Amino acid sequence: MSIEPPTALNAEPTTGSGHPEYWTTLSEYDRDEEYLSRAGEEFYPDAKPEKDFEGSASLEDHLASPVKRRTFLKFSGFAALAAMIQGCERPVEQVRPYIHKPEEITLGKPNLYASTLTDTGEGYGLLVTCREGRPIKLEGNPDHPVNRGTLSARAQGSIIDLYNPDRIRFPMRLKRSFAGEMGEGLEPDATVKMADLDREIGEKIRTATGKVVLLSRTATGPANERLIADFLAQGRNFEHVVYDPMSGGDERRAHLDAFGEEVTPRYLFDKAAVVVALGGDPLGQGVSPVEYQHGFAKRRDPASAEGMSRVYAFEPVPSLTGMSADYRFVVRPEHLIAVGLGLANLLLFGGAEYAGANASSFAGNADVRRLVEPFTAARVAKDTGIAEKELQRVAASLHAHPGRSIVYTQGTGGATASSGALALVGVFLNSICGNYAETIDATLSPSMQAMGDVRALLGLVNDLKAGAVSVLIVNGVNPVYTLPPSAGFAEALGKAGYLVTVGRMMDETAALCDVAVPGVHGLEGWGDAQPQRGVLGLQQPAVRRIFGELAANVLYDTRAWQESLMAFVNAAGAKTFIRELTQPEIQAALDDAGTTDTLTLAPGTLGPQAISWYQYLRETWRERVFAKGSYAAKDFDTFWNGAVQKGLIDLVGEDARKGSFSAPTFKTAALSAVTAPEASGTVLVAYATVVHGDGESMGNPFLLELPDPASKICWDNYAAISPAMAESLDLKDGEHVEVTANGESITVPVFVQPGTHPDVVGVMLGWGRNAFGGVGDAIGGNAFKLAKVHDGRVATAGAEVKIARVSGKTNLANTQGHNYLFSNSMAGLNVNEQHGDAIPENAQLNEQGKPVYDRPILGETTLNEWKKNPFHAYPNNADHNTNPPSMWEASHKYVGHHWGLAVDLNACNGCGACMVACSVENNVPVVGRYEVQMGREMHWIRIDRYYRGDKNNPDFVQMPLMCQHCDNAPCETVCPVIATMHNDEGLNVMVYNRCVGTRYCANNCPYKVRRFNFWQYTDFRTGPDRSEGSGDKRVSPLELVLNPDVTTRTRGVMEKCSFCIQRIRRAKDTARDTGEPLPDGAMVTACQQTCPAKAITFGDRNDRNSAVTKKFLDPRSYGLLVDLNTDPSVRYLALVRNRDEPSPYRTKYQAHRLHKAHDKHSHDDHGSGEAGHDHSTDAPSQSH
Amino acid sequence: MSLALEPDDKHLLSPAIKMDRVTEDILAPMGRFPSLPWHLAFGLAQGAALLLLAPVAYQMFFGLGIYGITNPNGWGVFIVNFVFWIGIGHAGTLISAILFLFRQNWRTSINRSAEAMTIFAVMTAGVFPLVHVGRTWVAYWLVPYPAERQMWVNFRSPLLWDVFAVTTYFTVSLLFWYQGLLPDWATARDRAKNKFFRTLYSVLSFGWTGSARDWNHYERCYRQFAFLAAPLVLSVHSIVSFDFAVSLIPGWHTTIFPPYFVAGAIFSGFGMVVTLLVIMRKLYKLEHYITLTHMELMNKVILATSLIVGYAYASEFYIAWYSGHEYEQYQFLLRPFGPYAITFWTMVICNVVIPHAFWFRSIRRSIPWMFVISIFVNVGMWFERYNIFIISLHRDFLPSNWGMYYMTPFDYAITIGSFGMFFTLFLAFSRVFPTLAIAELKATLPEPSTGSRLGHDHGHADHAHKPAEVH
Repeated sequence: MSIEPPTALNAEPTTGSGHPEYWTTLSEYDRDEEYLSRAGEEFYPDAKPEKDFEGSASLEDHLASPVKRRTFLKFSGFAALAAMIQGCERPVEQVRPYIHKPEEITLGKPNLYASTLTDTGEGYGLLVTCREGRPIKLEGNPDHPVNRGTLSARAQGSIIDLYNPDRIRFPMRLKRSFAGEMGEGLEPDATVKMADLDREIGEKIRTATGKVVLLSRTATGPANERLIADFLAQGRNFEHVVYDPMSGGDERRAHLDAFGEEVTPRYLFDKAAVVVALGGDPLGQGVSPVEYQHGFAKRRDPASAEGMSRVYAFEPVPSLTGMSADYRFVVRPEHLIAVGLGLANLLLFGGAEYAGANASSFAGNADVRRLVEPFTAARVAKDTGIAEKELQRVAASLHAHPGRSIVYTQGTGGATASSGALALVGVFLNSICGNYAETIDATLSPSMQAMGDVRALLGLVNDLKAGAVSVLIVNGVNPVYTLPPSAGFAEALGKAGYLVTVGRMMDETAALCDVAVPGVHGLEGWGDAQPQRGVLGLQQPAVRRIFGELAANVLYDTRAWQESLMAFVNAAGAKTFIRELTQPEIQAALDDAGTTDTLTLAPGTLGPQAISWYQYLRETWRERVFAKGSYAAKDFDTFWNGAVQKGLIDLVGEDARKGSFSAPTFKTAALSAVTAPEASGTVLVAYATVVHGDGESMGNPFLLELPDPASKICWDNYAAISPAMAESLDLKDGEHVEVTANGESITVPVFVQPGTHPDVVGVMLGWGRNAFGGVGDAIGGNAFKLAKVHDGRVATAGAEVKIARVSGKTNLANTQGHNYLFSNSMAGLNVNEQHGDAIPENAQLNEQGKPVYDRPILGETTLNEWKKNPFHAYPNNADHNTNPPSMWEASHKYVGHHWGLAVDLNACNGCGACMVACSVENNVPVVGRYEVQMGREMHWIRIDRYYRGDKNNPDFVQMPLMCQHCDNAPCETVCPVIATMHNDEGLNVMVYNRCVGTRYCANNCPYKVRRFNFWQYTDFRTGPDRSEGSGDKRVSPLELVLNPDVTTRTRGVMEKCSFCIQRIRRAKDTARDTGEPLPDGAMVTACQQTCPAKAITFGDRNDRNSAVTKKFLDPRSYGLLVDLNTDPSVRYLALVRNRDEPSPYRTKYQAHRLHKAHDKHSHDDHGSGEAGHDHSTDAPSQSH
Repeated sequence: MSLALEPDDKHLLSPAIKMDRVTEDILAPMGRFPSLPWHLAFGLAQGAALLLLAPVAYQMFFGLGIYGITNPNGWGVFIVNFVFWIGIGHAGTLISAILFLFRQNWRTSINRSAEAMTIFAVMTAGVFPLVHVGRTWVAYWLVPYPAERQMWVNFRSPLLWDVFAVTTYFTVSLLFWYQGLLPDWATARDRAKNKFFRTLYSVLSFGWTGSARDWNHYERCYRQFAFLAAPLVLSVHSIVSFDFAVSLIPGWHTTIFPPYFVAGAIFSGFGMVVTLLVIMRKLYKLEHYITLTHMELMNKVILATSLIVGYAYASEFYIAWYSGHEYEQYQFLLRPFGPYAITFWTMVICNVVIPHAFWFRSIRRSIPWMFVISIFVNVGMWFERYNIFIISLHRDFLPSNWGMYYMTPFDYAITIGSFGMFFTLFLAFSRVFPTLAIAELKATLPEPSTGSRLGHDHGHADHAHKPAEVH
């Protein structure tokens, strides 16, 4: 047993003392016998081994039979099993780094792709922000002349449509009677393959005896147009019907009648000194709202070089334009024509002080005289209730700005049966004022957005009814929903031979089809668009198809509608989209196969090939764009790459776009068709809003939770009635009413909307979708049902309406419950449902003629007063731009940056684009109707709407409010764990990880901008009524939209606006990498970036030349609640209304200031030097 | 035993009490199987306590959304209940410490249970700040403890002051209370019938022997604790009031809050003591020990603090008018005339109007009257907190922020549940603790008795003959 110990030790020469020279233990040192004898043994005999598995204990036993083989196997088997059980729960997921990193992708850095948004119809240019291959945010393409870098709320929200789990993911056969839940339709049927459907559709097209009709929205762009032309060339029985529910159809027809050319003009609001909206809403419902908001806001700046514009709005329910107007008149929809003719009368026959620019060329015309002369201002005033002097004021304004005005009629406010006549009156007025050469472009680069005309669709209905349509291909339109039932579209569909729907979403029309061919989101496919003549936009895919064949589920199959159309034609046996292989391609195929013998290749390899949509698009651009123009790029590849990279080709040019245009000649004969309709009874106005439009984007949670700009209600539509009607019918907010018009009725809650005409019931369009699935389904009532088709027009307004109370009450999800601002009225105290609204008391001067003492929240003045004293609007009892005295020394030193943000209340129209942009950028959760009813919406930026004055026709103020990033932040001092703190750049930062959730910060925030996660909101896929913690979980692939730069917040923590700190960080990193100081304007917040009106400015307050510093120094700027010494980093530029009358509203501070200014004026006698604040100008005498 | 004998003005305790009966009477419930009424009351209280536990458990798993708290109304009834119970907790230590220091002998009958009430009220109160936070599991971050991440707390935050104030108050009250229990545990030990209880009480009494040395230490220590505890009575609610006074919300940002809150706390605390003692003296037949004279004295305190509270209410309105601060003015118009006017008027009627009945001696000495009035006081004080916290928050500066607060069933549940928790603890206490301070009580009896094993050579003996000085 014993082995000789390692000899080295023994052999070691010892020192004289007998000890080894080098030793490791004392035994060794002492040369202990026992130690030496055993040094080489493996086991010590008396070292007691653990009892082995058989229980034997002695060393001998142990050495003789250590663990028995079987025991060992038993136990190792157990161990292996245990390890495997562990492994069973979680399959091995292998994570691999980017060893071969795609050249263009750097983890953590966004890629921007220029594209064009074709899904919402306006054709906006996009920059798609992609992170690690997935689009997470849409921004406007700054080079695009239509939207100039900004986007609307709907466009911002459309990013989530890409990941919508309710999209059609695979080809389906439907039963023409689909009425169930969307979920049923989502069940894949493995037997239905795209190729099978193509063959079937092709067969139907080939054997069609009747018409083959393509029904779609306006599809512009060289390739789209050519594709449709090629499709129509398949046979004489092929037709294309263009339908846009919210189109400029009336306008196009009016221009056709008046000028002989069917055109939707482009309006240049930035050149218009006077805007008259006759039931029209360019900001909310125009064919190009973002473009118009941009131009409109430019002229709302009182300091603009051309002078601030003046806006008159005549409308029955508050629209975005009406709420921004200087003078807003509440008019019945039928009276709009009379108002227009009354203005025409003044402009033509009212004398020199009202004469329009072209009055002389019309005044003598017999057609004109016959139509216009009866409508004297006095008569119109009598009929419509608008004071004669108001009409004269409008006419005088138009007179004073020849060729510098716009009369706008497009919108649902005037969409009565006579909307065509109204549009014609609008064209006529613009002609009288000489606008066609100046502010209206109908010739150079007119709009090509939403050109569809419902007349074509009604023709299709007749064809369908006659059984003349063999195949109908519906592409992305939904007439079953957007046409009134009386139009009979749904029934007519049943008579079609074969119905194909090509689209992304199951909708009411798709539900009645035979087969559904799934479409793609605009970010997934190629395409082009021409939103204005000469503006060619290219749409490039920013992501591989989410539900494509390469996605996890092999049954998924989606395809761009253009590809589908080509496939149908191919399957029908036509050669249009087929080509032979070129010789190099044949050679390449042979090389791939490693052979020279064509016969060895698989059959069909070298046969005719289907042209891909991409090839078709590219070739079209080569032939129709590149070949037709002269470009800097010499070869097509360079040109194409440039176009794709930039996203567009602008054939017009910025200078030409701003210039004068030729004015077509107005044919007065067209006026013979104009009659002013009679008006009586209570009428319906089914109106569209900037948020929901025709309801196409219903189901987008961001938009569903975006409050309406006027009522601040989300997640529902309602019957908007005037306070007077509410009083006479004894109706209160939320009570259900049945609204009946044209024989159809819907049941909706009622809402008392100040500013509604007393004889009008307004119902928002776009709600009440019912075959939709997902979050947008079955909310609200469908107001399209109440419309009627008249003379080739869908009249959504003007029908006689009955409103009757029915049982039921809804707690309307209102993000702003209380409308009144004035504390002097005790009446305001009692009206008090949480989301019911109090009607503001008339808050003008009181009986004693003393100014009303209100809350110094809103700065508001008139242009004249502002010109006399630019500080006039400042509402607070503190010096402009100086903090109130403080006990404390300024404790924060902002050495580097000191960020600030300025909001121009004059520019803001309340469209809500900023709110959606913020939610997308910052992963702000949508909480659902129930939570909003509770008052728990999570928006980091909100837009407060205040009414002022007369409750029947109040002034509106829209005030965006985000975290004010106070330099003396009340939230920071009260947080017990320092979860919210001040950083050295003036940001009030929130450390989510540290937050315990005491909510003390939110309580102590005077602006109430902090938002608490009462539930795990980020986990939810929010439906309207999810109420408790057990709601639906977020459904894949919705999580792909999350911005990886911003953490999602867990329940129990507070969150709020961060000034987009992740963007600040990125901008600073970029600046550091380049070694340059961060330039002003390089850092933009998400809300600022998207704001079409450019109402938001962000920047460094330490930079004396930055745009934001200039805004901070503007006399109009004021801090909200600065009296509290919060020292906010947000400043508001006070509202200036372009009114003749001085503002009847004064805060007590304004009154005080005026008084002081007056004293100074009388004592100083204009003598003192004007350094800084100029208070020495004339004080308006009204202040006394 | 006849209950007809009532003490006169000269004597706090009933002449019927004999020294040898004191120990017997007071320790009797500890050795008895609980009666049916006790069982019923205890069952009810425990059932109610579940109403606190269940929503809290649910909330831990799913979130705070079950409650009525919303964006402007961040605290809801959580903090209403917290401050209410902290206020309740004020009477005990006031009675035991301040009245002790002022040599108010009448406290001896009531101090034990009043102190117990304090402990349990603070425990009940302590639940709410813990569970009202969004992430209760990290609520310990409010405590400044050394950690490797060097996370530190914000000493500027009144919530942190709360943590210190409440824990200090709780600790000192608990120790003070327990120290008073030591001689009585020893008494219980000496009377224990079996080894288990003898051992238990022996441990609880820390080996009290009753020697002069023990008493000497005891008296000194008790007095020192009393000095320590007395300012805490004033500080804890002052600091709780800082949560509001230090903020800038109109209706919260008020310098009168510290004295106002302390007076209110004493007011509500005495109200609760009266409510409890009326029940307890009946249930345990302690009428001879807790006499009408005791009750009357407490009712006088209630009357006095009611006047202070009423003055505070009035001064808030005056300051709102005088300040010219439009937000503050609106807030104080809102309280009597706004949507929550009913809570305001409930508060005024309960706290300011009804206690005036105590001007009448007959009502002060009437058990049914004082019972009803004390309940009104408690209701009124709950609504006072509702007024301050809810009404102020629901409409502050910007009208666009405004939003109503409505209690959900869960809010009602935790509010009722807090009473359940409190009464569960108190009922349990009344069974297993000596509910009156035996040793102190004996000292206040007219004559020394040889029946006591505890001797009477301690400091109180001198005062036992001068009970009249309480008047």
